[in-house]
Amino acid sequence: MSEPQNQDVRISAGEQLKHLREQKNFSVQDIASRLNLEARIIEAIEQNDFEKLSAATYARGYLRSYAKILGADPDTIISSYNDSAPEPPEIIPEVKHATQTNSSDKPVKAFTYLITLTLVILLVAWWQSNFIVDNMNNLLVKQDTVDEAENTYALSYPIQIVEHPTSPFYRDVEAQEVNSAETAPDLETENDLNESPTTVEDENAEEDSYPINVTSDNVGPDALVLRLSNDSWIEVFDALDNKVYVNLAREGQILSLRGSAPFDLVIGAADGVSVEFNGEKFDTAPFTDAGIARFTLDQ
Amino acid sequence: MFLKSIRGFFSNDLSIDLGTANTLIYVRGKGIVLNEPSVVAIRKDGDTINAKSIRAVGTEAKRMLGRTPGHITAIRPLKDGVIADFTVTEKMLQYFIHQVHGNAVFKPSPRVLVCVPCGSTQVERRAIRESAMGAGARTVHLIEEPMAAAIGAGMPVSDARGSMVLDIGGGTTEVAVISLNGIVYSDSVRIGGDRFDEAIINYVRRNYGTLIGDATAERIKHELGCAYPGNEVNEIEVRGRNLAEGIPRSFTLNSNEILEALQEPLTGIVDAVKNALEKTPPELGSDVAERGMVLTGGGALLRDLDRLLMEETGLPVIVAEDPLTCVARGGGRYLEMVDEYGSDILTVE
Repeated sequence: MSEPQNQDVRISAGEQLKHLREQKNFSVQDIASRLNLEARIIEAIEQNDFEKLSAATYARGYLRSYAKILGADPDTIISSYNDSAPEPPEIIPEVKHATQTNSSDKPVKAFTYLITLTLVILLVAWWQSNFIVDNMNNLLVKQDTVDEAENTYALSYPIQIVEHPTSPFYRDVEAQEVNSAETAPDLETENDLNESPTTVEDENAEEDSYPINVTSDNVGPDALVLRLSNDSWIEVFDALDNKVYVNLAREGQILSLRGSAPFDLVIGAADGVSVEFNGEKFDTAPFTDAGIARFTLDQ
Repeated sequence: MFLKSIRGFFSNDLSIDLGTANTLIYVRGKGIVLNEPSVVAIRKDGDTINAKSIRAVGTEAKRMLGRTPGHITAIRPLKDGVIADFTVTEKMLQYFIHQVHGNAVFKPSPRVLVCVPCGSTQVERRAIRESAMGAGARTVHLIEEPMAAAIGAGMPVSDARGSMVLDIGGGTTEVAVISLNGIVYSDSVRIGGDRFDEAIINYVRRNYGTLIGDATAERIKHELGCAYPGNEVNEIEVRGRNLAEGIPRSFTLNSNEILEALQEPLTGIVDAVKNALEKTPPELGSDVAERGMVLTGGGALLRDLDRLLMEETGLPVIVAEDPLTCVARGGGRYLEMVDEYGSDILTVE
């Protein structure tokens, strides 16, 4: 669409053609017969009544041919017509079909990009979390070694309790402390050699023909005492899932364990074991199924 | 298959006017993005028969037509509107589709609409479909050329009125009467721009005893070609090899001579139009007589062709705006319609 530049161009296409036709002394009929069009179409063109012509394509074609006959430049005529030209005709399908979603539709495309993006983000997040966990584990391993060092110090402190085998009964705390004070240096060296409580037991067993009654290992704020009246498999894990005691305990043994609650316990023969948690008796009967007790001890 | 649809996300829908002379590609929302001659130059590598590679495609290859050394052959893989050399057509389409996308990361896999001549046989259509598939298309729609031309020219094809379209391409001329989104009558004659060139070459050889090439003939057609005697006579200086002397000579041709040379193919086109009018149902014929027929395709640019048809048929004849790209644009609009309404809006195939 060119902008009209002078007075001549600004007048409409029909008027321009009519003006030219009159200049050349042609009648409407002459033009109509040369273009093989009906005279009313020529008149409609000259009156700019393009509604009567069926489509813009035809109107443009007529204008072009008309201009050519008159020796005018078709392009100027067309450009002044274009300013008022109607839209090209719509193609109306015979049957309207439900619009089918297509892979190239904008919303579908956007959704696909969204899904892809989400997947990528999830992938990155997963990778990163894995990475972090790995790092954490490394750190924890280091931390553990530090803890062990601390443990040796802690063990010299008379928290660790060692009971002597002959008495199956519970002694009072003072007596225990006295005993523990005596045995503490032993335990310390044992712990330096190996942190597993089983070795403690075994070594003790060598010294003593009786099954050793007292075993203790981890440090922690919470105390757990297990008294066995028959042999039983005992598993105790503390809050951080660290092994506190996992072994077969013998009849008559008293296990004094320390660690941070909650403890996860599995007792193989629960009816022969009495549990004491922080000085309070705990009944295992409700958690016992087919002789095996599984429960968690918490404050 | 799945991979193809993923690649499809990164491809545009294309409407391809796979013409004998020129291939045009219309991209939705972008318009005509490629208009290149359908010519491929093939280089033979080594001695084995199958060692061939594409040397050039399109304009560059067209410049080589008739000017190639022994190991390069410049060929036009389409003849008379249909595929003459299947593999080369496939390669050419592949090249064009790739060029249109210019995306190096993903191999394009667009939805493609290809226009076929209405006179083409099932075998020819299938060849076009397969070669488009081979060139990487995800799905291929086929549409008859006159239908696409009519849509592209902006004719009211949905109306219950007859619209007549005459599409003169490089290899074929299609004439069709369309009403209510369907083709009522159509005919295809294998006369087109190429036949005009041939006629000029033959005329010059007969009357001047001189051989000229295709490219020269085409230049003569563009500059002097006309279909109806006009008031002014133009002249052009051409050079060709004199057959008697065997030496290149230059001589002058004028537009009246070219008009004489073009008589034979023009008569063929006029006959096809008259034939179509004869076979058009009377009701539609009267619509055509009232509004006239529309010329599209490169042949419509031949000077005074509308005048010739007006004189011969006594009907109004108009030339569409931008006739060369009508078919590709019409195909593009059809693709948009397919998106909106589903693929069976028009009677195709």
